[in-house]
Amino acid sequence: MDNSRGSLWKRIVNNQVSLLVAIFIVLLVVFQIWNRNFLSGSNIITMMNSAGLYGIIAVGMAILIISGQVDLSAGYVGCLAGVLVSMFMEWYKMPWPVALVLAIAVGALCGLASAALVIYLKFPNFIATLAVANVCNGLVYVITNAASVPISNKFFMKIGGSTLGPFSSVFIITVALFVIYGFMLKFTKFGRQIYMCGGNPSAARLAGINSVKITFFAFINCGALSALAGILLASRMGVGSPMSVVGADLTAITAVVLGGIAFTGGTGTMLGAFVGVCILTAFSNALIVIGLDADFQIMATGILLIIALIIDYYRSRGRERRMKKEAKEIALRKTINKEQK
Amino acid sequence: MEQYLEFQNIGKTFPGVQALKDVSFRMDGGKIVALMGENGAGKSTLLKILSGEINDYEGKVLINGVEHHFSTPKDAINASISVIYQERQLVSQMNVMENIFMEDLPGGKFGMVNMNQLKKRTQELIDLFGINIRPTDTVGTLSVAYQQMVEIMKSYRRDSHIIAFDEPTAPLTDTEIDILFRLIKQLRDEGKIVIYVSHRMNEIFRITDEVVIMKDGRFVDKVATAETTEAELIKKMVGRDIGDTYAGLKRNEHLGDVFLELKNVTTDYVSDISLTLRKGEVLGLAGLAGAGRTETARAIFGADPIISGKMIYNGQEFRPKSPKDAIDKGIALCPEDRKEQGLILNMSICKNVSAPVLNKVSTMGAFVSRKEESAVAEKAVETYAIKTPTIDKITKELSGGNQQKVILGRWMSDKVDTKLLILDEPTKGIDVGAKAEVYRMICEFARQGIGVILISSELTEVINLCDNIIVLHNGHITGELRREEATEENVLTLAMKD
Amino acid sequence: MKKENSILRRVFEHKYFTLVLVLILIFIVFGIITGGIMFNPINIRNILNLTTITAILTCGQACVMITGEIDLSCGAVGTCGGVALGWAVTNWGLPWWVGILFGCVVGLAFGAVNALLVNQFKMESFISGIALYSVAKGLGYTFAGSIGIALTDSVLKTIGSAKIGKAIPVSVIISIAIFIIYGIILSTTKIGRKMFILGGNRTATRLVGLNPTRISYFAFMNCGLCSALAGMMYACRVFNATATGISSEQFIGVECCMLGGIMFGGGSGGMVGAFLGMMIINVFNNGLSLTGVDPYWQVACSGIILVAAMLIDFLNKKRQNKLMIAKMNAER
Repeated sequence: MDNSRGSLWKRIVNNQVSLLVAIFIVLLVVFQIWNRNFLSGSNIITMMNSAGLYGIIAVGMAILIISGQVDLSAGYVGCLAGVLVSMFMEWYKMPWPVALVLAIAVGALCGLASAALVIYLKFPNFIATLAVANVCNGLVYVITNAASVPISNKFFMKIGGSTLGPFSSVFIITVALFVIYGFMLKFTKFGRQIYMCGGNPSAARLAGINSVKITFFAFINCGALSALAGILLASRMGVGSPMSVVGADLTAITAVVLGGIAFTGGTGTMLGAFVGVCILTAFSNALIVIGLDADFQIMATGILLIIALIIDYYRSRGRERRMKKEAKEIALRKTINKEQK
Repeated sequence: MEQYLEFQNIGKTFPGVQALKDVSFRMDGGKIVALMGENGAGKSTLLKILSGEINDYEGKVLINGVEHHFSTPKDAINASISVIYQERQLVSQMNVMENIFMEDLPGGKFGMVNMNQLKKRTQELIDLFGINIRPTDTVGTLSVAYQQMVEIMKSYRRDSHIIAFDEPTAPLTDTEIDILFRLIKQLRDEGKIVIYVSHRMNEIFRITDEVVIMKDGRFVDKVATAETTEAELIKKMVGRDIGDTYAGLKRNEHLGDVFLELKNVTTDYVSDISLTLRKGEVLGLAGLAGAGRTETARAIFGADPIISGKMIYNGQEFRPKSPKDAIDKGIALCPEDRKEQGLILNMSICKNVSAPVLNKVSTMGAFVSRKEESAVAEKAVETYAIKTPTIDKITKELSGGNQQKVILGRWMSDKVDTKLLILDEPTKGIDVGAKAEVYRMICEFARQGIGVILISSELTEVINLCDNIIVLHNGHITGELRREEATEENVLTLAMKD
Repeated sequence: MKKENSILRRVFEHKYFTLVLVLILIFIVFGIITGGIMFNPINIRNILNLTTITAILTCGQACVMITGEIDLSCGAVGTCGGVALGWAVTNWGLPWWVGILFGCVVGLAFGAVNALLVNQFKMESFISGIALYSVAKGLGYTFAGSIGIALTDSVLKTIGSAKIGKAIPVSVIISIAIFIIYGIILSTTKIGRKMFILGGNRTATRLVGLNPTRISYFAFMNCGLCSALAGMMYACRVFNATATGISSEQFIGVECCMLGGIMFGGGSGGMVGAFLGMMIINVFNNGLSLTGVDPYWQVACSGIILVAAMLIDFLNKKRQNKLMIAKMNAER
């Protein structure tokens, strides 16, 4: 395959990530033209916060999907963590670092539970995570009695709610996470093993890769990161709300699939996921800016996911057809060669 | 030091069939040894024992005189054995260098991968083998041939001393085969033990030094390639004492008119198939695994689409879009894998038998009549002597022979009115007694005027049951034999002819 | 003596034995804990009253699960059904039966899209269900607004709360009838049989001349219809088509089915089991609320019940495998 050939245009289209970046830029331009407030300072901050929230979950989700699993409990785990961190600080008067660590630990525990269900009880991964999601959801309501828990610790609220220059703190944390995890995925042995685990499990087994260890890591990591997202949201909003992060898992999955991480596992990059998050955030925000309801957003996310999966379907079908054609041509050529001899 | 691999009294039994019996032979390093035999001779079982996939067997595997027992495939890899199968063990989304060094990525600080090292060492391998690919190429984008070479490089990196190839040349072009052979010879010249499993005579004579012949799970002989001929090899692979198995089978003496004709039929898997079938005829499709027999049957049954060519059934052109079209015309298929494709394992005999004829056992258009479908099932149990206490027994719990009878009962019930019965490996995994019953039934069907297409890898079955035999190889027909002239040897010769 | 033993043994090994036992146990335990309130006829009526919506959802989900898939869009599709009903009757002034038809069409449409995504585009059914859930939820919110659409039609109002005589609500009769109807459909009709075949072995389905796609469409569209009916029923009961509707009833269908032995992966199970599963969950939840347990614990319990149901499923499969291997060894 000759990569250097072809115009700039072709190269952009062929490389998924650059295609996404191009789409992103186009989106920004279009919406800015549509509504001049789109790229205003405050709206950018809003977008950053939104991107930050889903982005952190997307980091965990991306690794999980690459390793061949999926987690539908992310939103609920985050919600629980947000509520817990406020509860720990307000009702139990814990110092905020302790509350923070504890809440993240709870998230990690949820991930652990999901992993155990999948590996030891052979639950299908979505049922396992759905069950965990339900438990978290219930716990949230039980703990808070459906009321929000306001936070009084000013410093804590600064973590999620301040800005550094033109960037919001949440966004900075998100980008940092993307960079760190992206680095890990691309450059370390462990990262490679994650790809192998999802790409060809039997080959990975032959290569001596411990897929149980990787699966546990991926789930626990996703749980912890979801918890972090929920905590940061609580920090920014100043309350631990039982309604906060619900639906985030769908958004994170959509962003990640848009960014080129296939559901079948073993492929995709952190960079792609990041661009996917950006595109999705810009798109959702734009819908609101041009006057559509938040409800439209929910619908749009669902439709976008469907579209992304359909595109993926056509792409893999094309590959299959090509391979079949190739095999047939080879067989045909051999027969012709024999007849000619 | 000279290396050698030795098998001592290897035996392996699967439920219902003995795959290997008392196999003993030795292979020396610095030689390319071919492993030949028909389907079912035991070649792949032996390879699986060697690669560690099968870990409970009788006998010993010795490498350089030391006994080894592999509990997992990883153990085999650690013992310097690499088996290169037709299914790729690569991660197609990753690139060449990552795949080659999958098990042992060159590391650096903090668990990071040393990319420079990785690239350099991969390039060294590529140069050594003289192949035109780059370390950074994504494996999924390479042609099958090059993917295979990546696998060879992988085993080379492992520094395997024993490398086995299982039918490597099927998807390769001639030039690619040349490159492959050059690589294989290189491996041999370095003193490694190379095992080459193949059906292709010309390749055997082109590249191998010795040939090991297996038959029916036993070791027959090991000869030097230079000192033997094709005919001799084939003779060693066949020649069985069939005893009374086929005695007393009443064949059909009067064949009816031609009612099925294929003219240059091509599908995704087979090319240019032409054949005719008469009423009451038993037509055999012979050939080795992957020759295209099942695919031909599927085309007739409507399971795979016909791309070009014509199929004429009962005088009219017939282009089935789905199995339903074929079934409506009286064509039936008993698939090769009866558990995966034939039976609904968690359902009862009764429900399995009535599955294709729900419309005919229904009352008031929408309901399934318990009475009617039971009647059909009872008759099937009786006619085919299916051993079961009741028709409600779950088919998963039946033995292989009885399962096959359920499928036959399904297609041969009164409600179906089958005119063309296609049987794909009907006696696979069945004990001797049940096999005899199946043979009797096939003859009975033929006498009733039903056209039977019999696909079988057992040469004796094909020769003794069929009126005509069509031999396939590589997706097209290599020859046709009439009953009188067919022998195991000439069928096998055609099956291996290019 | 021998005959007695065999009857006893047949009862023990009957597949519904555990479920009936659990049901009776829960009933008795909670009865004791609540000091007899459990057995009060008014309470019994409460338990039975809850069943209609769950019953409809369970039956719809059962068909889909038997074909080997799962429908996770139920809650939102149901809400849309209710909203559609509200729009047609309240906003457009159409007669009540047209409104109901409209809601049904909405449900069928969603089911068809789900089937399309799964069959044509080879998506995993849980992902398509979740994506459709968002789409349906968004639609519901958009058309219902935050307060919902009030249902003022008198006929609709009576549907939600009608009773026969003084004691038995119409809804109970309807829900039992629904279970019976679906039970009959699954066990005696051709389409029921075809669904079992599809769930049992998809490849074989095609090779015996059936059309897996058509069967799948039937199952999904039926589930969409059931969801819509359930949603409309709920709206009638609360006299309001809200944007949340029955969204919280998302997984109840799945739980009942799994508890009832409709194993995940399809191909087996029956409505009796699903009915028993549903009764167990209902009695359990009712008992919890009677004992004054925080209602929100019920939501958490929902997750635990799901895990329990899957555990039972897993253990069932394991036991079946063991039994089978033992049988085959014995026969040799």
